[in-house]
Amino acid sequence: MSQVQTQEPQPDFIIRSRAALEDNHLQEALEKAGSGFVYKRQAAIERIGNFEQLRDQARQVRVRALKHLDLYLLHFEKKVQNAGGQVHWAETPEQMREIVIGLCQAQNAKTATKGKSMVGEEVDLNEALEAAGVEPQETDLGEYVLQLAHERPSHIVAPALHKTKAQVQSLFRANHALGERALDEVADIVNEARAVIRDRFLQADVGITGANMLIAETGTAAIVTNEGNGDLTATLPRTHIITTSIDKIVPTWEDASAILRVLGRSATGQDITTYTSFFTGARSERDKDGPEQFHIVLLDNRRSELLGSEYEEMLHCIRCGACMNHCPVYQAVGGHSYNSVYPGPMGAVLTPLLRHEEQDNQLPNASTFCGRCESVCPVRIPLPGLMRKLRDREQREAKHASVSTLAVKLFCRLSRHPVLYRRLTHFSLKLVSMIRGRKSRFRTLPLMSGWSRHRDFPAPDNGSFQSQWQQRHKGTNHD
Amino acid sequence: MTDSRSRILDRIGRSTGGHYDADTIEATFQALSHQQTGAPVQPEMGLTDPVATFTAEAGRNGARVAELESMTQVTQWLRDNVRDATTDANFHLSPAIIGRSLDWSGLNTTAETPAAAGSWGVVQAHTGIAETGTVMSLSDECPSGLLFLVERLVVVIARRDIVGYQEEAWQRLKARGALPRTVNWITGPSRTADIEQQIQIGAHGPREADYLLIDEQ
Repeated sequence: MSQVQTQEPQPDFIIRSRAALEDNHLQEALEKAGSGFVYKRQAAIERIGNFEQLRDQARQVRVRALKHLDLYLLHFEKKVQNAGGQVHWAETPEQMREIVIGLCQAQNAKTATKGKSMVGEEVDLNEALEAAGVEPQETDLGEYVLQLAHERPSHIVAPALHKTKAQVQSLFRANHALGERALDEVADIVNEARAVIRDRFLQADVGITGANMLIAETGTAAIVTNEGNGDLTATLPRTHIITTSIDKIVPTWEDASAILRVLGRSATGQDITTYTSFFTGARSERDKDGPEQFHIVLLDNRRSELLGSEYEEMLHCIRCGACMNHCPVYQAVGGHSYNSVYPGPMGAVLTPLLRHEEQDNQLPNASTFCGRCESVCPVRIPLPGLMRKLRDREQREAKHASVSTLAVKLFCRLSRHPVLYRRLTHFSLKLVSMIRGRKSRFRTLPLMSGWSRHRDFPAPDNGSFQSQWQQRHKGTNHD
Repeated sequence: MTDSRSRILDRIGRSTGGHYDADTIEATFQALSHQQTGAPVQPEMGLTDPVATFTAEAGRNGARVAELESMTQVTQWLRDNVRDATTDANFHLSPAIIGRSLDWSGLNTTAETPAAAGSWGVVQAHTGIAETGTVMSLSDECPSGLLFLVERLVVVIARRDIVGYQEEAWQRLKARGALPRTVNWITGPSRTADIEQQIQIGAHGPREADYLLIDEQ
């Protein structure tokens, strides 16, 4: 397997999203995926009578988990150790890569099957494994397609959402020795991947998966999947490594239930996914199978700094993807436009907080603030509110004030001086009416080409709002 | 990486205000858990008869449910359901099923790793959960790999082992003592929607799932 695209993506969201809007394959894929998630979620929550209460319960679990996060992590660690496993702590992506590579090399591993792990993506694990001589083999169908295409996920639940069936077919034709085997139907594609990947499960030296939750009570990692690849990855190799992050903790099994009850419904509209698996430590002599070694690598990567900050609620996120499924911006430009492992509204908040690069400041601005993300979030994260705070942070941190900031400041000053304001609007309207002549619309406007490229600006008639107001009320009695 | 560990915990501690040494962790955890035990919020779905709800929900999630009377009828059901006579079906049995000395005449049982087409797994669930039509299997009773490697998974479940909600399954699990390495919950056949969001049954795990309900004393 070769490297993920070496070409650096365009650092400007606007330019990336413009390209996305013109990408016919992407638009076709988004169109097909678009409303599916939305309808399925709606149907799932209508089947039960109290989804809003379930949301409240899930939110409370996340609040409690974070309130005593250190205690729960310590308890979790102790229980994992008691069950014959090990917990490793990584402050940075670099440390997580080092730990995982070290564990693979200690096993002389040549191959590692992989279940889907967004934290693994966050730290660019695949490239690091390759460089260290361990072949990463993605086993989730979507991730497998992306590994063939040398691309990143564009959605946290459906990683290859941006790919059309035709694109997957041509990837398989180019990479598989197909012979007589058909590839016409979705079933053919799935069967082809199943056949190719099955042997890898049986032969891999190490299995690497993510985790949806860490249950502090017993040191148990829970994984939620539909394909079964996560379990084959976790169960068959001698060593199972989990790459996850410190915020995934829930206190008890009952708390895990509270999360599970909203996770599937919000993500794919399933009341439960096909497989929900709970891994506690390594195989003991009582177990009929399972790995001899079990390692959990916990990533911080600035999450601990968010605790107790005005952004703490972002750590409630359970990674269901409902926010992006309902986001008009994500649905128009797709996940890659965000140039981050975490796209859509949750990514627009999380990426500037975890990565904190200059270009990430654009992401909280990539929102219409329509509020659908917050209204569907199973743990009620106030995503638009957090984006607003990040916009403020951007302004505070900006080295140079932008044109729009200066304009707003100027407006604030002016609006506090009514006489000056009135004179200035009066004067500028005079000016405008001189320029417009007989035209009723302007085709171009100075400094506003972004607006006038796609539409005309109506020329103002009859003076300013204030002067019209005065005109209208001249004859009327105000008593 | 001990330093990373203490630095991460220090940063978290600045917000939580917690300072824990190894001796107090368990006691503090227990105290907190007791404080916070309230009634769970469970989905409102008119669940009064666990077996009936289990059957309905399992069916909705793509499993076929068959009503039998006893374990001894399981092998006859299997014989009746080996549909394609030209394909040799290989039956992979969990230890609990092997221990039941059933009549396997006419059925080809094997202990090899399930690989080729036509592999059937026959296992007994520890618990069934009506809420979602889910079966629970434990790796100290049944190898977890068996649940995923076969083409068709047949899960035998005693009606008395079917509970209403998830919390009751946790109680049964905790009552057994030490947890097995793997607790598997299975709800229907494996599936994927990774190609154009079209649901395709039969991804990496079984393509078919049958639940056989039996009575046991």
